[in-house]
Amino acid sequence: MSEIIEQEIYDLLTDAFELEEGDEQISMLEAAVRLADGLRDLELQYEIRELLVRACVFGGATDKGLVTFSWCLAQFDQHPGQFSEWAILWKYKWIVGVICNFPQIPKPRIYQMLDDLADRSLRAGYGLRAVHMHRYRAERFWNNREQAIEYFHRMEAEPKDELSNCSVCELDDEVGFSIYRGHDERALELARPLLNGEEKCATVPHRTYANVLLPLLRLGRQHDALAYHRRGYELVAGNKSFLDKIADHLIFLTLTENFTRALEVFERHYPWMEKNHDAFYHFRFSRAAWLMFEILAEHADKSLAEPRLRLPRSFPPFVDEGRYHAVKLAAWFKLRAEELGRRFDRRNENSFFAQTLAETPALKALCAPFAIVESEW
Amino acid sequence: MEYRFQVNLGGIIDLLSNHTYSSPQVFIRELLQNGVDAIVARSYLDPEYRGEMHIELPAQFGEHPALVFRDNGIGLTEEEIHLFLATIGQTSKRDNDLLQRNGFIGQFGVGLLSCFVVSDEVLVNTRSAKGDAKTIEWCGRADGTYSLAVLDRQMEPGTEVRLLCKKSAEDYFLSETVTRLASHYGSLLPFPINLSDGEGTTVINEARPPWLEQFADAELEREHYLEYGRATFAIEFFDYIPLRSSIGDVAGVAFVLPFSPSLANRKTHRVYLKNMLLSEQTEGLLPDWAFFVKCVVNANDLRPTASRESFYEDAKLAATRIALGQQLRHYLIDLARESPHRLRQLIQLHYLSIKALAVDDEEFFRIFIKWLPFETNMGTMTLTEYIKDHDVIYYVQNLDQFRQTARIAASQSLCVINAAYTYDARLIERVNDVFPEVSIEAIDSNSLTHSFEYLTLDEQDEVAQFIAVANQVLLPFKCAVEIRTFAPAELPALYIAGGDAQFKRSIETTKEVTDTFWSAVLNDVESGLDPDSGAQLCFNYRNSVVYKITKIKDETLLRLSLQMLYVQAILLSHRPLNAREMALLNEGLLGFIEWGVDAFEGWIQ
Repeated sequence: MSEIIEQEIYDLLTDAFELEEGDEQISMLEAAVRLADGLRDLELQYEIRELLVRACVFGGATDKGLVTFSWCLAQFDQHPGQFSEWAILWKYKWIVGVICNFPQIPKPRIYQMLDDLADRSLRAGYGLRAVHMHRYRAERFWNNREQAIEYFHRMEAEPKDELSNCSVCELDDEVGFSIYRGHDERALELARPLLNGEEKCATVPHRTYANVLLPLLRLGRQHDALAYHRRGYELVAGNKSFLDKIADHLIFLTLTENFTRALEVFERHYPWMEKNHDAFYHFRFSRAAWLMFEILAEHADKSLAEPRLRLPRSFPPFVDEGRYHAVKLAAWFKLRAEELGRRFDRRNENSFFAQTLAETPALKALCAPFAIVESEW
Repeated sequence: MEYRFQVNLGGIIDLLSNHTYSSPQVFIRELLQNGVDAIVARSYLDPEYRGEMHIELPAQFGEHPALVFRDNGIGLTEEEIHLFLATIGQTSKRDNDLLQRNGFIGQFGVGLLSCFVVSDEVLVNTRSAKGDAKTIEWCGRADGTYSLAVLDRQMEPGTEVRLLCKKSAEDYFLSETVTRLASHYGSLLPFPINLSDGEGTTVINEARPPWLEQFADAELEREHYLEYGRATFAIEFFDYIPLRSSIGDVAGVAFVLPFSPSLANRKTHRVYLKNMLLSEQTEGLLPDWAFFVKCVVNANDLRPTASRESFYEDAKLAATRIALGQQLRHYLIDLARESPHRLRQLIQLHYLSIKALAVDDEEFFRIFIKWLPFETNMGTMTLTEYIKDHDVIYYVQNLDQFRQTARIAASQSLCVINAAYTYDARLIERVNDVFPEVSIEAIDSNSLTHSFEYLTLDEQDEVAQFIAVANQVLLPFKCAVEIRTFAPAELPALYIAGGDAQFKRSIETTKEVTDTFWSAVLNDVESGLDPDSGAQLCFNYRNSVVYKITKIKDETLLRLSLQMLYVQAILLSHRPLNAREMALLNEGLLGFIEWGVDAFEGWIQ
């Protein structure tokens, strides 16, 4: 009996390996986990869950990734020496990398997690470069600017080791840091090898393309922005873990008045909101949709002010015939973004998210038509 | 005169073999590239001139096997030799800016370095075609020394590179290896590469690629293309699609694979830049969905990255990608029009590629949706087949839900599509564009119960006591209780965990092993979930055992029966039991035995 189940597990894993990251891969690995749990074979249960953590984090199911990781960490601690220390620490990094996205997890708990990762890293003989990177990200998440900047510099001062990110990811982080500091031109200079395809890894330059869109618009470099939107959107369009980056593309399309394409992108990705629980992704996407519909609402063209959209029945303002009012949708997404923002602000004990929303309409100042002409491509 | 250049040659050779180049055999590529560059440079001077290259493998050259590479290109002056040496000294890797400043001469020097991976000594004789140049001999050695001399003997303009095989590099000096490598990298070059060994001289790149040929008829063309595919990849391809793009100046062919490629085997195209092999792993030349083909393509106007193994991601590459994508798309559309039978065969192999394109391309979607296969609980079928018998398309969005619902749905004669696969849900959601009359409904195991019949009011009175006890028994398991009438009658109860319920269940299971800190984190996560989406146990009133149990007056027996039905329903749903459920099973089983023994003793007394 157990051979048959093992074979079934093996088949599921083989199929899962053949898939890009996403729900399908996650559901195959979940099925394999259930089978392994039935066998009560600890090694197997652990190994498959390791794969599942990866699939979840890189496939946009951050909450499932977190739960699965906590199981692995508990088993790791209860069975000293049985599982790879580096591998669990590496995954721990992924988890602290998304932990801020859960507004229901209080700040002290996040700090405690970062401290725990720091302890474990040191005990395993690694430095703190990776931990400082995540402390920087956390502080940046709640806009504790000075602390964030300090941690970034402390990260840079630490030597690289096996726990720190690959050089491509680190370059992307530097780009992000420069943008955070308001140094758009420097950021673009740094980003060059990423943007032109010379340096790449699993998630870079996917994120980079989205991150440089607003800086490019600020610098008046619409033409470059358009090219990076093209390539960047292709790279992120198939993976739910990039929903926040898709929000950036949506904003870009709105501000360059490529409304038809913006609506297509919206229509294609809205369903993702219903298929994952990540509140931060929801916030970012709702904010982008709000900005788009607000601009469309003021449009003289009726087909834009009252766009026809194909949305799932479960979309709360769903209408049967598919004809929507941009005004109403703007209001709905604004409310949604505010509600999510409040949850983050309550946890973060400040008003950064509310402030981000308050400043969003000001992005309209960057509005400048720059149409995508299909025939040029 | 003896000079010494200021580089650590050992370090550079290490760098070359470990970083810049993927394997030692690229020295052949570098020699060919040097030859090509020299020939191109000379043809600028004299358009009448005909370039050619010659690789010679002398039977014996001193004690070691040797390789002589000769081109009749532009050659180098003494000054230029100093310049390439300077380039070697200045750069430890192929820094694009520097190389572009120094043109092919800088490239020449770096290319030459790759020869040290197979030879301890590199001897270059060269004479420039410019003016009245002298013949120069440069001899570089792996220990970092070199000598430079002006020879009395005058050679024809061009360059001759002589390599002496170093220990353990013998394989790279064999005639078969050199022929294979030279034709691998240079088979598309538009001037002859002659190879001489002890046996004689052959031109190794005589055959032209089919896209440069004219064919008398379509049949002949097809034969030639497929033969070319067979010779290049040793694969009997399903079909071929000629490719051409003025943007990027691209020409070549896409072969349709006769099997579904695995993820690792996608995007392994053979790509040439200006007729020299660039890479066999080039990304970005075709759209992401186009993994049903394997290409041989030459591009004259795209820019390589510094490693020279793929293309620079710029607007031109993006435009080329779109142009080539269009040609693949047209091929498919033509096939749909002209030979549906072939298309059906192709779809069997490559439906994933087709689905990937159809989700984002409305026109393509309209043409292809009726051909695409979907998995259902009643076997694989196309949407056209599905719609023939059903007015409503039911689909589930994940594998677990499909497994949970498939059997039950089948016994309600409900055909359900498993849309857990990557593109399926999105394809189904836009089916109305083509079939406006059908309605589409996403279901999960929860919504399946909507079709179950309610009990009559009288029946509800009869089961009231049963439901009350069941709720009490299952409260600690966060499982709600229902009773309905449904098929199949053999099924006593259905455990349903749709939406967040399954996730909640895995949180509960995980909390059995985590410490207090992580359990607190898990509680946080759980607090963010929909509180109404718990698991549900739905009893089947039509089942004879359930019917009998609802009549039981003995509360102990009722409890035991409920516990066992709960555990059995979970097992039937293919979920492993968590620790508490396992305890329940043990307790229930023992309880039953005890109860049975007591009853039996009571009966015999």
